[in-house]
Amino acid sequence: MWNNPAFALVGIGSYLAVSIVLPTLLGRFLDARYETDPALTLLGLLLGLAAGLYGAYRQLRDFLRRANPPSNGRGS
Amino acid sequence: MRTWLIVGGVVLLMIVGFVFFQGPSPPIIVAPEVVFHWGGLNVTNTMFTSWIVVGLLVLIAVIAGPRMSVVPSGFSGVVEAALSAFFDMAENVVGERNARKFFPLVATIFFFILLSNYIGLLPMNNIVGRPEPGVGDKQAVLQQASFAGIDFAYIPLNPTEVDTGAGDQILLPEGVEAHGAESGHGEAIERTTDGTFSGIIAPFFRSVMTDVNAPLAIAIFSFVFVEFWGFQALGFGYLKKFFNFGAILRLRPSGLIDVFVGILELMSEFIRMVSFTFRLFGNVFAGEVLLLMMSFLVPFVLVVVFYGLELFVGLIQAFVFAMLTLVFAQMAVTVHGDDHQEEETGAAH
Repeated sequence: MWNNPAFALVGIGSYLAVSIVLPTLLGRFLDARYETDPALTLLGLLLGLAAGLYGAYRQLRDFLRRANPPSNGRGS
Repeated sequence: MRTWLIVGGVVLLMIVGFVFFQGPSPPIIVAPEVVFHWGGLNVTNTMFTSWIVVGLLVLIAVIAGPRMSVVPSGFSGVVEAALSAFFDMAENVVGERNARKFFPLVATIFFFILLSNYIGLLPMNNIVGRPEPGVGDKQAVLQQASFAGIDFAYIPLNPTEVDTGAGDQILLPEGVEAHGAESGHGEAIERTTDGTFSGIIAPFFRSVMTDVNAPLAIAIFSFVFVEFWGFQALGFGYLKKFFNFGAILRLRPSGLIDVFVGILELMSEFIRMVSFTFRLFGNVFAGEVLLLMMSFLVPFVLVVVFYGLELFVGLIQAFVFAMLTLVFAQMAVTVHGDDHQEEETGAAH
């Protein structure tokens, strides 16, 4: 069980959650500070969504590459 | 027949506990309490417990270290078995050369979190502590005692609740200054003489990872080491992952995507740190709240099930933290695999 390469994916859930919530909250904080509501909140949300999707995709890609040896992993 | 007797006894014990021994619900306090002052430093209970954990780890190393031999035996054999099992696991994930480099940090993280989680499950936590005034209408009545010159409070066997009346009165033990008054509660203080008081306990010991600073500190360590190993392996080429201006300087429009991906990579390094922190903190803190609540709802037997669960969670979270650090370190030291470099990185695996 411990040596399963899928174990590297346990962090993917909390990564996705934090990557969306954190930039959004940061944007909200900056909005309140510089009175640019709601531009920075939206920017943070979009960046967070992009970072979450991209990071999750990368972790999944690394896992797939490790699970399927590169000889037949051309489709990744 | 015997099985049914045991089952019946357990159910009876649970019912008796639920009906007769149900205590007041424990306060859930996120911030760690200050136990004592040492110089200018406010020592909180989580810090104090983490010193104990570090001391235990050092003690184990001092005892087992010099006795390591070719033919392991006894205590040092156990330590060696645990370490080598973990090393084999790391070797499986990142290969021998990298495993030798990453192992000291990763194993330290693993054993520190594991030991602090397990010490956090010992019954000494959250039971004995400094008496503190509580807030609110309903307050638990706790017992106060003194041992070797240290005043402390503990939860009596059959704790009761007292209605302090509209939240304007708190009962304080003798010799305890009213913190409530100076922090703006403005409540009248009434002292009791029979050793009981109403309020809360600021425990001396508390599970280390229930303080959000502790997982954050380890996450920062893990982050710093991962970046350091990245630089060590790739030099300044490591930064190419984050600031990829090569294509856009050649005025290719696809370079914009490279720049954007670089920003996402940079963000993900920091998000990873926060996600590390909240995963560990959330799991351990939720576990502690669960244990407290279960033991106050159904005082006997049932909580044992959740203790088993928490033993498992403590191991899993320690392992997850260590393993993800290992995986991210491995990601940092391998050459960043763009699509045209896939063969190269594929061969490195």
